[in-house]
Amino acid sequence: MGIKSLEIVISGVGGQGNVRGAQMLGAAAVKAGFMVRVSDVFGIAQRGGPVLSHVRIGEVYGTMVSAHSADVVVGLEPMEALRAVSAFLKPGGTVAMSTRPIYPVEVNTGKAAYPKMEAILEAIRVATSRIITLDATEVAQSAGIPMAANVVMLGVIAGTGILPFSADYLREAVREYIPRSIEENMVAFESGLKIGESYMNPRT
Amino acid sequence: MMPNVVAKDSPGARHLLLGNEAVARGAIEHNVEIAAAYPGTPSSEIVETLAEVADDVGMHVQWSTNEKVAFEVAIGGAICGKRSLASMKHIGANWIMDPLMHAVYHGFDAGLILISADDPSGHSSANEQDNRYMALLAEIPAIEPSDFQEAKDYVGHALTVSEEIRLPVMLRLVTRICHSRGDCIFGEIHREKRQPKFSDDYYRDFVLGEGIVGPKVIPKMHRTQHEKLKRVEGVAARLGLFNSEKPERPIGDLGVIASSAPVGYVLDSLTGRGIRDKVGFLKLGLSNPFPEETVSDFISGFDKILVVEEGEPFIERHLDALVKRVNPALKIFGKLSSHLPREGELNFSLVDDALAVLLGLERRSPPAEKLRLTEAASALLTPRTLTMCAGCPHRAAYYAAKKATRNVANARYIAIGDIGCYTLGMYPPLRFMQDVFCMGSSIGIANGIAKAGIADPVIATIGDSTFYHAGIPALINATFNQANVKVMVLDNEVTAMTGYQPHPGCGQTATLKPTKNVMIENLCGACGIDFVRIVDPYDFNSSVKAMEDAIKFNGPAVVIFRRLCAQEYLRKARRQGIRISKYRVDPEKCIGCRTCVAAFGCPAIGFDREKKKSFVVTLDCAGCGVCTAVCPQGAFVLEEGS
Repeated sequence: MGIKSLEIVISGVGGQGNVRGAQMLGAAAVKAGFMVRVSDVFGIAQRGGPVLSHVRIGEVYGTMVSAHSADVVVGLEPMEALRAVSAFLKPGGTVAMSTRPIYPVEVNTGKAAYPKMEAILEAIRVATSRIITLDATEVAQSAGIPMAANVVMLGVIAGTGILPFSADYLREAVREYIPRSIEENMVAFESGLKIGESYMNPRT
Repeated sequence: MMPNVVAKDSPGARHLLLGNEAVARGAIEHNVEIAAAYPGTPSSEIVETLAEVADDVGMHVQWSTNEKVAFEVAIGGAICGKRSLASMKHIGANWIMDPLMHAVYHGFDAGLILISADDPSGHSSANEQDNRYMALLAEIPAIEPSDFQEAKDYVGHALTVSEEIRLPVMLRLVTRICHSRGDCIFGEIHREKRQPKFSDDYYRDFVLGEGIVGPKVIPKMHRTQHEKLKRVEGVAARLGLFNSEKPERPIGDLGVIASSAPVGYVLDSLTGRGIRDKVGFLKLGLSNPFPEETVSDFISGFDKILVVEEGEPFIERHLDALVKRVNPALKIFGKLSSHLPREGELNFSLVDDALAVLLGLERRSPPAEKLRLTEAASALLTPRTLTMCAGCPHRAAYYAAKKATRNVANARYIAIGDIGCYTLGMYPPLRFMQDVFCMGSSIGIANGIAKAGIADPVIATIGDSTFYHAGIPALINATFNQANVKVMVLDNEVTAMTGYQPHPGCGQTATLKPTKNVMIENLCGACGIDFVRIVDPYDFNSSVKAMEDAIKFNGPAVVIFRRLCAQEYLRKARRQGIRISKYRVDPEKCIGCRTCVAAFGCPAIGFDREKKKSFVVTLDCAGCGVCTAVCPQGAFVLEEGS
């Protein structure tokens, strides 16, 4: 094991595949031979509530990432990304965020306003400049499976090279855990991977 | 999902398992033949996982009508020589106190495990009771795994303890074990179909003429139980349920005693600070009966002990009593000393802080830029409040009932809720119920309110699964004592909140075998209820009428609002390729009155503040069409082509 631990928080809204994404990431790390802890935090609502998944890889015992110590925050939704970054990201850590908002009921009913994307980014920049943004749903859509935003985001973090194991373990995990439309999901994963890679090696 | 990986005969294989799946794997490896449960977060996936593989491994797996029945089923299995378990959430275990307190005087040839999944912080529960106190009261062993390997392995240990001691054993889990995942190495699967044979110490020790109760019998049996308990620590030690690490020269003369999930926080803290081998550490896998010898051995040589446990200061209080006898100078720290909080779930930061304070090390503090970010973020973040799903039949039922109370009772009523998705009817904008207690209590409490002389209609709202679980005796009571209560049974034809488990009204068992459907309306009739009406909550006008009639009826009345859970329906529709007809707002008709968003509150309906018009979030619309009845202007119309 080349690392002591890698701490990742995945945040999103119930129904976005948060939990499954964390499960695939954790399973890939187990396949790669690491000790792994994954924990999901969600309320009692079936749909639409905030969901946080903690993934810890390496010499780890407890199941949750502690405050301000995540190396990576993966946001499937912008406001939830900000919520997770605020609570968990280590200064200078990496943020991969999908820019497509899911409005809370409070916003839909006109009681609250959804923050502007620039304001969210500006806040995140207080803690880090390593920010990757993309519309993961759109990327998934072009892969033929709009629901696979979570798989796209897994591809993105694999592409950044931040994971201590080969992307092949994640490919294997996606194949194992996704019940149907496997090929479309694989395309979604590869598209995400390219986005992650191009962030790391930007062409001028 | 990896279906059935838990039943794979692949000893040595390493998998990422949910704590509950690891427990299920343990039950498979160690030949549990009967598993029963009533679903309850965070315990549900144990029996859910077993149900998926029951036929493959030769196990009887059932969802029982309630926890008491589940535990009784497990007693029945154990009394016939088959390893058995019953699993439930902490609050669910309150139901089993009666059979449990009796099972402890018996003794079975086969292991009997009571799995209690405690929920510190009440992530999905109405309290955070610590069921180790239930083990203390019942005088049974309580075994606590601290990680995912142990979650599997300790099932085997619990069975061994249960069989050697001849007592039921509690496997005490917590949310962070149940609902977290970790790596777990599979062991060998030992399946064996034991021939059923009735055997019971109670029956064997029974002496004709002494009676089955009374002072000749009961103290004798109680003494037997106490003799049994004395042997538990020895068996537990042999099985490796205690891990003691005593450094030559511990820093700060500190020893840590921990159990359950917080063991991980202690190890993370000690490892992170590079002092893992410099602090004394005892991990307790058995917390009841308190392992006095093991703990006495450990504490000798330390000046200070920090106890880290999830829930009440259970180990801490036992340690306190022990120390008064063996070493009164020893200082104990933990929840009673306020070094750790007594309420809420523990976490790394809380434990790391306590260790830092006791060891005189620097405490971690949030980085300055994070404090600035937190402040900036708090101005931008809005909460996502709990709400029922788009298309939820409960929302429609509550909205109709509210209208009925306006029509016939000047909007005056008292409504008591119950436990399920429909509890969310207490939240805005519906705010239908004024109070809620525990499983099945809505009808019973309504009985009392009606007898207290409240003149307004007294309403109880209860779900289908909860009705079978605990609603029936209270409904009989309403007839028996003629309590003028109006019961709304919110029947969405599945145990939705815990993950769509089947119940007695679903016509199929946990293992998807067809079975007889127990109809709620028949039960109501048999309970002596003269007013029983069944309505489709999507049919708004009939629903209002049914509630009006029920309120006007002189005597206990039941309205069954029957419509399949919208999530379950959408899943079914997706599988069968059924297209959902969606709705949209006709902007010509919408006058911006906000009834749909402010009073009804479907999450698929939004309001555009600039245009002052409502709109439908098409992707989220479940096509229930109740909005067409809610809107006073008839502005909701079917989408073209729908």
